[in-house]
Amino acid sequence: MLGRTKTQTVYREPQPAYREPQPAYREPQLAYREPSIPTVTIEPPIEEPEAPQFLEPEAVAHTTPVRQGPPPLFKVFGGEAKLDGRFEVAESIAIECELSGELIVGGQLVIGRHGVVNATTHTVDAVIEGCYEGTMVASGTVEILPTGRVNGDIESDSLVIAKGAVFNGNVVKRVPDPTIGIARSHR
Amino acid sequence: MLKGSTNTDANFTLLTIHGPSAKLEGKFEIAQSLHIECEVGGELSVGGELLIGERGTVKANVQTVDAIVQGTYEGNMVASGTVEIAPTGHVTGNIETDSLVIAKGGFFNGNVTKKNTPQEWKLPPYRAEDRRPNLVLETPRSTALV
Repeated sequence: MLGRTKTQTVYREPQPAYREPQPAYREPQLAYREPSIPTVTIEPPIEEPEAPQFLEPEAVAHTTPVRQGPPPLFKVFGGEAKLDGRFEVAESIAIECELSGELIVGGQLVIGRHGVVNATTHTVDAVIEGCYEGTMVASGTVEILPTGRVNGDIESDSLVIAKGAVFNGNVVKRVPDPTIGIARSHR
Repeated sequence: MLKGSTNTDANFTLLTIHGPSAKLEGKFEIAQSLHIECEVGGELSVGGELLIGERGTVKANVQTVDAIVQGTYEGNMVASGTVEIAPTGHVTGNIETDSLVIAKGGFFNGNVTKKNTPQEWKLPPYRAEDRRPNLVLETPRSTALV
């Protein structure tokens, strides 16, 4: 006992040498959440009192198609115009003025209610709302609207004359090659 | 007054041609204005403005008030108003007009004839007072002479 040095015993709080490792891995948070149901309120369409369906007769009869796309190739504005000559048009032409000569149209020819045409025409389709005089050869449909007045010969695949329209002349039904349609439909 | 068209509205479209191409030839008499983006030949008589667009090719004798050439024009033109050749314009021929504007880049080959040339404009400027309309001078002519 003597050889021994007295050791003062100081009480120390036991230091825990070993620490619990902090968990590096965490439970992944769930990315998915309960979908909140969107509330959709469907409002009833506001019912406006319907405007009286009165359209000017001009607006009704005007058949010039509303087009979107490249600007027109040729446009004449104003009060009056008188054109005379040869017109070769790849697609469509709408006429509201006086025109005479020769017309070759690869698409639709529209003669508006102000149009006065005195010409020899080759076209695919034609809509006539004004005056037309001359010979017309159409590979498609020719339509004469109630205000239309036609004086001349029409050779076409199909001709529509509305009630009230004036037509004076010969109609030649274009007989398409009979073998084409039949042969195709029986194949 | 022509038989078919009685509408005097300046914006009323009398003739419209759509499509990839068109070739017109003949004698055209137009009371108001005309916009060309295709091939036109013959004779044109326009009572308003003639606009030859960038795609327009006109080979015609033209009688008009105003003209703007953005495309190609070949022929003789008589204009009682202003002729304007845009930077993309290409004009070959004679122009008779009161006022001609050629933008930078615009091509012009031909003669220009001033329509109404007052006698005093033929004098050298130091001898005549300049009465050109719309002409703004830095210093008044009277003080410049002194």
